[in-house]
Amino acid sequence: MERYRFSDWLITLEIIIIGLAEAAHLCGLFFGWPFSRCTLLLGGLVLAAGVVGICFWAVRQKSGSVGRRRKAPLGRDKPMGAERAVGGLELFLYALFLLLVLSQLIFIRIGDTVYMERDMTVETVGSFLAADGIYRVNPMTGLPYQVGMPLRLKILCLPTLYGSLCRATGFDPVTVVRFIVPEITLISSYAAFSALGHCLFPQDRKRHACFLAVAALLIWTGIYGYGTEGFNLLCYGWRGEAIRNCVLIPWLVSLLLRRKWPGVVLCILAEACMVWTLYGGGVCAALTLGMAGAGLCCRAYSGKEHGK
Amino acid sequence: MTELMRKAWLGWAEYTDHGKLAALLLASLLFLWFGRKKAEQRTLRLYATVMTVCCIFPPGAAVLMAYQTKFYDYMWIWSLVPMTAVTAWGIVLALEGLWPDFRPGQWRRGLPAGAILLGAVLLCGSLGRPVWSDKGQAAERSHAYSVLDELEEVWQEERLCLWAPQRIMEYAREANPEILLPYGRNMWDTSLNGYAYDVYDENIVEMYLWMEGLEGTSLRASGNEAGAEDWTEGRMPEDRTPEGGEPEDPAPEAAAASGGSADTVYAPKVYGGYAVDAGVTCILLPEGTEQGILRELEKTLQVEARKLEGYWMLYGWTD
Repeated sequence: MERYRFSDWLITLEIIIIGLAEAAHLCGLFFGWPFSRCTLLLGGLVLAAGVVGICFWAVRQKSGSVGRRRKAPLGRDKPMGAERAVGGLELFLYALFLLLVLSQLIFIRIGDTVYMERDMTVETVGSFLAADGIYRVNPMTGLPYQVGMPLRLKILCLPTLYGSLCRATGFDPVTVVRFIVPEITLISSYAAFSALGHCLFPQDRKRHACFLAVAALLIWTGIYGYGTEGFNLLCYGWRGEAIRNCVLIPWLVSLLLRRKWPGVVLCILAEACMVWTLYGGGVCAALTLGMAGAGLCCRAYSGKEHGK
Repeated sequence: MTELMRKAWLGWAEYTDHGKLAALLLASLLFLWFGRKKAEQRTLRLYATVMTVCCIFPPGAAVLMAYQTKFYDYMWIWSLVPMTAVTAWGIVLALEGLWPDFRPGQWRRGLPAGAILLGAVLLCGSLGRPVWSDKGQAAERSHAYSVLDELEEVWQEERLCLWAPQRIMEYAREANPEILLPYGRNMWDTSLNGYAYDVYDENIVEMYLWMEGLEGTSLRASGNEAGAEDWTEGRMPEDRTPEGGEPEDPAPEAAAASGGSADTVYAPKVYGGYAVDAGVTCILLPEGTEQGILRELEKTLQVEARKLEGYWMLYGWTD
């Protein structure tokens, strides 16, 4: 079974943080905890998860290195992890890709094409911080709600995560929501594309590098319209829909192609924490079912072909 | 379902209006099916094809829109298609078909092929130019922030509930979440009303319309016709237009009885009262506001206006 790469671990870590943020958010929402307490809870949970993760990694490294000593033949094969040197064209393509990503990071910072319509994340985060509570006031006015808001929206955790980031970093909500988070989303998105590229072009660095460069170019050219992936990453990168479409979906496709089922479940749960879905049945679940259906059809067709 | 079908039909036209990445996706899929002797990743290819067809054809799109719920518009059903990944996959394979293994020795064939594909990608989209982009947004935000900074410097009270023109209130809560507002961005961006069950009462809506009327008049008076076009006196937010069209004017008889016009006497009294009832503690009026209106509002609130960064500021009244 193919091992997890760095990009897999990065996205898994981010999903775990989203899950922990959801837990802290629900405590604030249903138990009426002050937002400051929710932030402390989230910080504690992230630290605890970090410690557990480091211990897990250390144990895996130890058992992995013991396994390698037992299995490695006497100096005939190359040591594990050794690959051939990177060629000139691959270097050029990776450099082109990095240049495109850098230009996008700069664009997010200074491009001033943040799309404010249909979104109130900054006001929501600000209201959490100002009122020290979750949805105690209407983010639009700062006054208490008269009727309320849909529960399905209330349970989404991203404002709590961003508010906690504000507290942890000292930055204001505008900086965190419109600059820092979209830049993290952009980098995570390319980590997901990289994982998918390795699936589509296994053991082929040239085509993998070309895939990443073309994907970055398509992100640039796709900025024209609301809802496209380029728009999501470059103008709307803090939204749950953007994180789902540009990080979770490409990674989910790579997991499905590699048959890594735990990650698939994580994607479905992460989407439910970030995006309004039909009772938890969102795009990730539908895509998983769709790919499963497509896989069955392909197997049935190739079974018939072999039967002939 | 009919409504969903109609939205699906119109949604596709809108989705392909400003860019043609969907066409590039279709071209990639065609290549993956018919341009390759060896079929790689058949599952992904089949899934992407079926889902793309469902997103384009109205019956399939309507089903997907029903699944994603009415909270989302048509374009979000395309989330089900990993568009960038599949398009990039097709382009890489197409390029590799024309430039085998990207061998440096075959650059005479490979570079033109790469240039053609690059041209196709660029022509199907835009580069850093969102069609919706409002070039004035940066200037507007900067102006609002500077007014709000100036306001916070002079504000001595604890509670600031601000009533100002839209272009100030739009950025007030993001600049400082401590600032309260009688109405927020969901007054003019009605898509935000999906986030809460609260609605504004009639008085608050009239306050908004009156303030925007003052802003429009002020812009015209200062010669900014282009800016004034954005404001229409008596403009109603989309879902609040009463049957019959125009909102009612304040009673002109009462104004005539007090010796002035409806605009300069009655309106400031009424809207000043509404503001106090709504808990407003600070009003910013555009600099070009008619002096009669300003004086009447001062009289109603029993305060004196002062200049603040291109606005008249009124504050400090007792309830």
